[in-house]
Parts: sequence; structure tokens; C-alpha cells
Amino acid sequence: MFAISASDLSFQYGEQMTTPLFKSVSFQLEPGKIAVITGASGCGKTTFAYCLAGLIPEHIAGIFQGEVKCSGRCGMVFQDPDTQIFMPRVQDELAFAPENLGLAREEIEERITEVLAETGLKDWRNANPAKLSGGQKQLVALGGVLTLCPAILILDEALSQVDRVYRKTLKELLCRLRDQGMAIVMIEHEAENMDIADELFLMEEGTLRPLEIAKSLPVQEQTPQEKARRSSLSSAKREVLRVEELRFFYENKKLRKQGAELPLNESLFDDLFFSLNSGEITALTGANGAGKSTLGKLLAGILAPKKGRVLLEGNDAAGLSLAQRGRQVGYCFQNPATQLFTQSVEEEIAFGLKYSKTEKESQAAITGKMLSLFELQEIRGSFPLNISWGEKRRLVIAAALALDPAYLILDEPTTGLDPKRIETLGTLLEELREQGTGILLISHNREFVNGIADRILVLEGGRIRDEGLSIA
Amino acid sequence: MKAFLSLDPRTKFFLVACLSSLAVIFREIYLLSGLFAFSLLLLLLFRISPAQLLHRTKVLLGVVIALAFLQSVFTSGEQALVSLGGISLLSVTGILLAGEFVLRILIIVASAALLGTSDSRELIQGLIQWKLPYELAFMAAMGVRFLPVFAQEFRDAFSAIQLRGIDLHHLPFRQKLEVYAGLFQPVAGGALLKAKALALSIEMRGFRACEKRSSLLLLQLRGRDYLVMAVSLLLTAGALACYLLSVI
Repeated sequence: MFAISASDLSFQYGEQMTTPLFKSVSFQLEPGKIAVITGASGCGKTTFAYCLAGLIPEHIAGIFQGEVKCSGRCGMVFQDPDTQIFMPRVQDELAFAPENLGLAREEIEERITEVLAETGLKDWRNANPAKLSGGQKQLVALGGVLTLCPAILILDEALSQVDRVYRKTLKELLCRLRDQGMAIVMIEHEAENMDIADELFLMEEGTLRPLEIAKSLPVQEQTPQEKARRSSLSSAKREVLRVEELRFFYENKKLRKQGAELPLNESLFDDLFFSLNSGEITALTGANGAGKSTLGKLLAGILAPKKGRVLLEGNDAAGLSLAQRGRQVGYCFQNPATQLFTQSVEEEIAFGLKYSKTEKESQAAITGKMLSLFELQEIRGSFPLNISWGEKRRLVIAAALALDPAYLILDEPTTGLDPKRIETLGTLLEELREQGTGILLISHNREFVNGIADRILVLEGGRIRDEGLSIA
Repeated sequence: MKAFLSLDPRTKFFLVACLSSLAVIFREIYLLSGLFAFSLLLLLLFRISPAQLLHRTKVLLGVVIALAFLQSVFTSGEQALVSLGGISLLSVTGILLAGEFVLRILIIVASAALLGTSDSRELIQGLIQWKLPYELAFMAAMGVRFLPVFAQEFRDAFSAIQLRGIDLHHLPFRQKLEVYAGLFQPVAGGALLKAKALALSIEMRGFRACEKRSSLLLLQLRGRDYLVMAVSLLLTAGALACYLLSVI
């Protein structure tokens, strides 16, 4: 008896696609098992998950063939938490599913309490989910499905923005749910999350084939000595960004903990001092909600400090407009969809060049180079918001790099990228470093950070700690 | 004052209905001014800063004032202030009409701001407990939520454009127009895609899975809610009666 069984599945997004995304794919999973499906970004994993969840053909149009049978209720957590959260409080978000099932208030309360404890969100029960960090939002989205108590749980890269500590807790939780009989399908890129899999599948060229579960993860990290040597080989460093006595808080942020309300102006960080150099890759890590993305936005000029200052090339950046800063500091948001605003992938890359008085020939050459470098040629005419998360991620980095910034800030650049493309990104960033570009990586991906960063900063309790060359 | 904030959302809906109805019915500028002063008092009681509210709605108010100006220009009336070739372009009547229009919108905005003191979940629940079908109440709340999402999409797009080194404020007018016009379709498309993704997400969380839905939140009207509703009803009925009988 299978918890979920799919036979001969084929799907094609309408007539505009010439071939099906996948063809005659079969998949079965027993209760109490975790299956991980991996594959290159854009290969059709998410679409396959939609088929398993019943969203295709019910809610998404296309040419569908085959059959999916589920032994019970199916819940799915999507890749982008922002499109799953709509209630004003975490508690309401978690209550939505059991309320839909018509459960009694006592039972709803019981499920919420249990899920809050299991996902580590206990202290955020009354917080506004929209104000939480990317990782915390993913936890809320997961919690919102867990309160449904599904027999089958489908997770589409649902842990990609969650920090290591929470990730470990969540993996333990998923194992417990499996032991209780839940069937779990995980769409994953990160090798770190695959160690709990009972079955591993690779989606490739429209097929799904089982893989042997690798006990050791193929991660090639540079030794600190190697990194120090490579870093010293890069062009001469100079300070590009400097932070002095930086203080920041969200003025209207009512972060209410259970029972008690936090002071409105509680600082996310106070008196931060650090500098970022050209020709150096610096990683910024820290727990979910520590303020990493906020710090990135302060450096880019999207947010203004409450106290202290950010110096750009030795000058106070407060007097510069966002556009003036943007010419020197490229910034890629955690959620790539929030910075796509043109009608095609090609236009998106060329946009900044078009208005920066770059000659037409150079515009075309740079755009072509970026399309090729980030393997976006085949989708150059696509609407940017319609492409996969991984493709969006590559696109925003390409658009930022097209302007040749002196410094580049990347917020969670590896989420949604498959291992091959993470490796390509790493190589590219190393090349940029050699050319003298400074890079700040805001990331939870320990392997990536340890493999590439020259220096690691940890943001914890409102303070920056310089960890040197690697983190354990 | 805290008592006002914790009023049941249904009481707030009732207050808004009373104020908006009077704003629509009253035609005289002195009555609308009085009603506006009362709305300001309510804002203060609900701990809403009128200055902040003005700031938040400045774009809307800009449009309203522009419309009012156009209305005053094209309203013929006595006591012409500006005329061209015997045709009155600006008259006292026109200015009064424009003033009434602006006041009416300000009262409606101020009264709607009272609803902002309850969160969307409480507002949905208020409507449901008034026997509005959940799907409708939910859609209405999502619609309201959609407006800030749409505004946020625009803000994000503007930030993203500037991060690409483009100074929107200093672009030549033609280019500025080109950028703004080009933004609309992708931003609207993006908002629609987000709405679609949200629809998929709620489907996966059992939306409409059962005929009868339950609720963790249960609103309870208290004595002060009944009192506020009764006073509002009496005041509205009294004001209407006086107005219709030409006492005021």
C-alpha cells in the first residue's frame, strides 16, 4: 500500500512548449518514508510536485496525462514563503488549516501549541509573519501545513532559508513525522538536507530515476591555508564599505512575544563596526531573524541607519541617492522576485545598461555575455516572474553584474540553485574577486561559505563577530 | 482611550457605516466640516495620528484635490472669480463644491482608518459573525490586503530600478514616462502571479475542504460595544432627522 502513487505522468505547460517537461514518469512512496527529488533548477521538480499534490490538473492549466493516487490528505509547502503567508499573526496562520477542517477550538489550540513548539516558533506566536526573516517565514509556512496533519507532506525547497540550528531541529521533526507514518516528499538541492532520505531520485531530461543514497556528501571545501593563499593572490585590497557605530531598529515593529510585548524600538544591532574590502569575499552568517538581510539593506542604502554611518569609498553614504549607491554597490535581494520588473529576461539584464549611457553595441555584448554565463539564453524572451526560482536567482545576479559594481551584496545567493550552478556561481565569484570586486555573501549555506569566503562575520545578539576563515 | 481600540470590529464597522452615510448624505460644507471635526476626534480617541494618516494617504489626497480643482473650474455658478470671455472659469459655487468633495473623501478616509485598528483576521471574523459567508469575507479581506501588496510591488520595483544605478528623479521626462509606463504591466503581472500562488497555497491548506468551517477566534460583543453602537445610532438618526427636517 502506497501513501502516494503516480503512474505515467506527463505534463506540458500549454501549446507554447514544444516538448513535455517530463514524460511517462512513475513514482511511489510508502507511508513512513522520506523521498528526496533533486535535479537541475528548471528541470520540472516543482511542476512534478504540483502533480503529486493534485494542483495539476485541478488548478494549473496544461497538457496532463497519467494518474496520481493518495491514501490521505496531502499538504504542500512552497518555495517562496511570501506567497503563502497572509494572516496578521503567526497563530492565525497556523489556525487556518484546522479551521478549514472544521475542528473544535480546543483541538485547533492543541495543534497550534504543538506545532509552535516543534518548529521553534513558540516565542513568535503573536508576531506578524510578514515582519519575520526569510527563514522564519519558511518555518511559519511549514507550520501552517503541519497543523493540517497531512498523510503526505510535500516540501518544495522549504528549508532553503532556514539556519543550521533550526534546520537540524526540523530534520529531526521530519524524521519523527516519518516514524509516525507520514510520507514526505522533499524537493531539494542542498546535499545537507538529503541525509534523512530513504529514497533519492534525480529528475533529468524529463525522467525521474532513483539514485543511490550517498553516505558522504561530495563537498569540496578549501582548507583555511588554501583560502588564505588564494585570498592573498587576489588584487590589492582597499576598503570599499565601512560601518561605524551603526544602530538600527524598525520603528513600527511590534514584535509581541507570547504574553508580553517587546519595546517598540528595540535595536536589531547597536554600535556595529566593521569594514568590507575590494578583492575579498566576506560571508555574513547568523541565526534566522538576527538581522542579516537588514544589515545588507543598510549597506546598500535601501534602509537608513538610526545612528552611526556607512562609508562608501571613504565618504559618508548618507548624502548619496539610492541610484548613486547602486552604481557602486550591486545588491541582490533574498527573494529574487522582488527585484524583477521588466517583461523579458533579456530586458532585465539590459535595463541598467540602457539608462547608464552604455553604447548599444556594448549593451548587447554585455547582455549576451551574462545570458551565456548564467545559462539563460534559452529563456531570454520569458517573463521574468514566470521562470523558476533558481532561474530568477541567476537572473538578478546577472543583472547586477552587468553593471560591473565595485562591491556586490548577495542575500542567500544559493537558494534555489542546484549543486552544479552553485559551483559555477562560486567560480564566478572567485573570478570577480581576482578582478578586485568585493563581495558580501549573506548565507546559511555553510559548505558554500566555508569553500569560498576569505572572511566570515557572524551576526549574533546584535553584535558582529569575526570568525576568520571558516565556521564549524 | 484603550477601550476604543479594543472595541469589537463589528462596532467599528457600525461606526464607519454611520459616518460614511452622513458624509454621503450631507451636502452643506458647514455640516461636512462639523462631521470632519468629529471624525478627527474619533481618530484621536482611537490613537490614530491625523498627520500620519494624511502622510500615508497623500497620493490619494493629491488625486482628490486635483479632481476637486477640476470640478471647481468646470462648475459654472454665481460670483465668478475668474472668467474668460464671459464664461465663468472659477466661481464661489465651484470652490464650495470642491471643498465639500474633499471633506467628504477625508471623512470616509478617516472613518475607514478606524478599521485599521483591528487586524484583518478580526475583521473577517466580524463579518462572518454577521453571517457573511466565509469565502466572501475572506475574499474581501484578501482584496484589502492586495492593495498594500500592489503598492509594495511598486515600491520594490522603484528600489530595484534605483539599485541598477538609475536616478528616477533626474531622468528626462520622456525616459521617466517610459520607465513608469513599462513598469505597470510587469508589476501588475507579478501581483497576479502572487495572488495565484497564494490561491494554490490556501488550497493546499484545506480551503473549502469541509462544508462547515470552525474558528479559533470568537468575537464577543461587550457592554461598551452596545453602548457605542447605541450612541452612534442615536446621533446618526438625530442628525439625519434634523437635516431632513431642515433644523440644521
